[in-house]
Amino acid sequence: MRHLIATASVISLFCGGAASAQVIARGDETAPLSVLGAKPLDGMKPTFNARRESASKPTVPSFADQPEDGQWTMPAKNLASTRYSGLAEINRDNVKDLQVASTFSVGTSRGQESAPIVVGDMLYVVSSFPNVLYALDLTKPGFPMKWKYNPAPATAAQGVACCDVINRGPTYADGKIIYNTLDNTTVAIDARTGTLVWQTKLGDINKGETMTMAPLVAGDKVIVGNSGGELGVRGWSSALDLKTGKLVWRAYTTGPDADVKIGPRYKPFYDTDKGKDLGVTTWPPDMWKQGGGAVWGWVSYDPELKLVYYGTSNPGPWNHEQRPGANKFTAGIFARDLETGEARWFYQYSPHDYYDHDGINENVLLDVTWEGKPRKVLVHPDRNGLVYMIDRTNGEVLSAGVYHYTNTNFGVDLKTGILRDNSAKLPKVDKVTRDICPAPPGAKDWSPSSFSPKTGFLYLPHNNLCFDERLSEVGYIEGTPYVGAEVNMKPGPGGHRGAFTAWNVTDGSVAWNIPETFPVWGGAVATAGDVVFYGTMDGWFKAVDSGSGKELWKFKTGSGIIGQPTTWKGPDGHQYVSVLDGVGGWAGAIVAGGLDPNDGSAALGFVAAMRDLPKVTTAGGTLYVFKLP
Amino acid sequence: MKKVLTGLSATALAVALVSYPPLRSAFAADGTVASAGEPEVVLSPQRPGGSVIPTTGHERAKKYENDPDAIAYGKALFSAFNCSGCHAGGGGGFGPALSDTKWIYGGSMENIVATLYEGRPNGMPPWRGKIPDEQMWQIAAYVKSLSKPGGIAPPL
Repeated sequence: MRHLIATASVISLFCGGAASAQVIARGDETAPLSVLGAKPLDGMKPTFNARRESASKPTVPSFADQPEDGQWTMPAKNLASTRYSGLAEINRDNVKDLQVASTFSVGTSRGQESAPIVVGDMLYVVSSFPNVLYALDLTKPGFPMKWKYNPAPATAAQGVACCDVINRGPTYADGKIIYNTLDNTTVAIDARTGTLVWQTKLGDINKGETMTMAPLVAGDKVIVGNSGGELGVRGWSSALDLKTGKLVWRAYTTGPDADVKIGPRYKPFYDTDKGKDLGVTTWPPDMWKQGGGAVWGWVSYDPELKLVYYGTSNPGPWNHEQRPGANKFTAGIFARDLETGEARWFYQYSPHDYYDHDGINENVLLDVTWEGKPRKVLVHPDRNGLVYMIDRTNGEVLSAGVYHYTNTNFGVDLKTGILRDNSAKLPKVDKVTRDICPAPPGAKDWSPSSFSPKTGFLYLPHNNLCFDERLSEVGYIEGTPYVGAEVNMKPGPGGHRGAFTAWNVTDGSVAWNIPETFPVWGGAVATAGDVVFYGTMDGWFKAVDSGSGKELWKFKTGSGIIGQPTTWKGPDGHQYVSVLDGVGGWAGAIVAGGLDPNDGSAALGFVAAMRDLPKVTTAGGTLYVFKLP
Repeated sequence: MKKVLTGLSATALAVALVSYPPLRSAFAADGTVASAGEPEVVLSPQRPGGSVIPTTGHERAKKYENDPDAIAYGKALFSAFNCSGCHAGGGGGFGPALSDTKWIYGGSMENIVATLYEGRPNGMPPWRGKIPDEQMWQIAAYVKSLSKPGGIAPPL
């Protein structure tokens, strides 16, 4: 059957079946504006939604503001995803003395994005494909391996992983280490013995699906989702029973309301998200079936509201001219009832996404006082260059401030919730649009930020990339890429390609900014010791002052870093910091996948901006653990 | 010039795909391609006893390799079947680079066609039954051309 589909697609492609698609632009249309630094026209201002009134310094919700127990049991540290540790033995005065306590090779050399997690006296970490789970004994000198578990995922899964064969880490609950394998299996491993407790197959590589995200355990359920927005998958999230792994619910991103789990309890804040079967009607006929909206990023959970929050990926294909409409419910955020999976609200960051601007970045749950009233919010730094503050009870956007240069939009119309696009920067079929900022990975990709309640700052590892793009018609062939775009990425303003930025959540401004040579593709951790840790793709693991951004310490790792640091208290009562090196991911595919620097269009155009990376780092995969002398 | 060539190729390809007799007749009922003389799969010329196994010289290889028309058709097919989605303009992405000098499964025309037919274990899908035999050779001709001087298209 499959060959018939493929053949039909190709024929319709060349007979102009899809070529007559018309663009339906979203939101406000503006007159064409020119080049970098375009200014909004009269009447177009207030763009960037500067906060008119300072909110109070945000606080961490009580469910995530527990006394520090010294563990780090899930990649985002807690359900609110703050990635903040209350440990303070390592502080801004003594961090300069930090030294290596132990190293461990994870045995693979593709990109390592996993977070080392610590439960009791054990450290757990997952390698890139084939996703081997290692358990290290922290009670013994050198932290030796206690056991390993190899899930033996299907080798062919590597062929449908869009952006390196990475894994974003394990999580712990109920005596089990739980993580996803590239070939779409969620596994639960006994944390003491390393034996398999349950495994659940959730997707199909032949449809282009993989799983790379870190599961989140919420109550008695495990929340997971698929990857494959570049392969025309149909995105979904699922809840599994923590005890048995049995599928409790699945909610699709596209399709009829029943599949998206939209019912009477669905009450989005904005009119544009209201209506029947929007997951079908905002697409050309049947295109929702391969419309993307994968759920490959971060999940947060509010146990008081019993709501799960996660973002959805870009719609497929990238060529937006082939999919006129708002393309619900891609490039947005869902709040879902934990028990049933029912959608409670949805907000679309990028209706009819033009730029591969997935909405999957982390959602940090905070409490603020807004215009004199307490609000439960989530803070979300999006690919589109805006940090959203959204009321997490109802989906209202309170503010959307600019944390990084963009010329694709003029911010959010807070009345309608709609992103105001810059029509001068829309990509087109058979015509090159130049100097679009930010590039497809956005001003910030998956790399998770950290929030310190001491400073009120959100620490953002991110990108400074622009790009040129030409779209082309693409046919859907199951299990193959579904993109339809030629991309050439380049450094953004200033010439550097990355940045580490402190975003002051209190007043919606940039507190400080550290330019970095390469995209900052790993995570951040802030601590009560007033330091923030992050790594760079050229292999520097850094500690900076959480208040000023001043560099306090750095250590050169063997390979570049795209992993997530964690910090924890060892059995000896002392604080440690851990991180994986191993360059790769989409940004580092040129090294991890040995791509040809002569072809800038390689790795979906990322190679054009990363040609010099192979000159400064090579592939790797080593866990580094640091401590004070 | 490039644009004209692409346009021509696309038009020619559309005609080829719609009216190309082998497209329908080449597919047997079971989805396999009826093709005379499938390529040998020889990944290493090394052999016990020291004799040499020929990996090149197939009649069709000689016909298609370096044939500008075959390369132009192959380029259009490379895009139409989403090969470019994984291998980009030759530099790679999901899949390995094709424009360098490293050939995991052999770099002869025969090897490339064999890879297209059968797929490879690390994720290259098999196209047997989905792409007619002649188009396999055209794609291989284009893939071969990528590692030659000027093989990679200039940037946008």
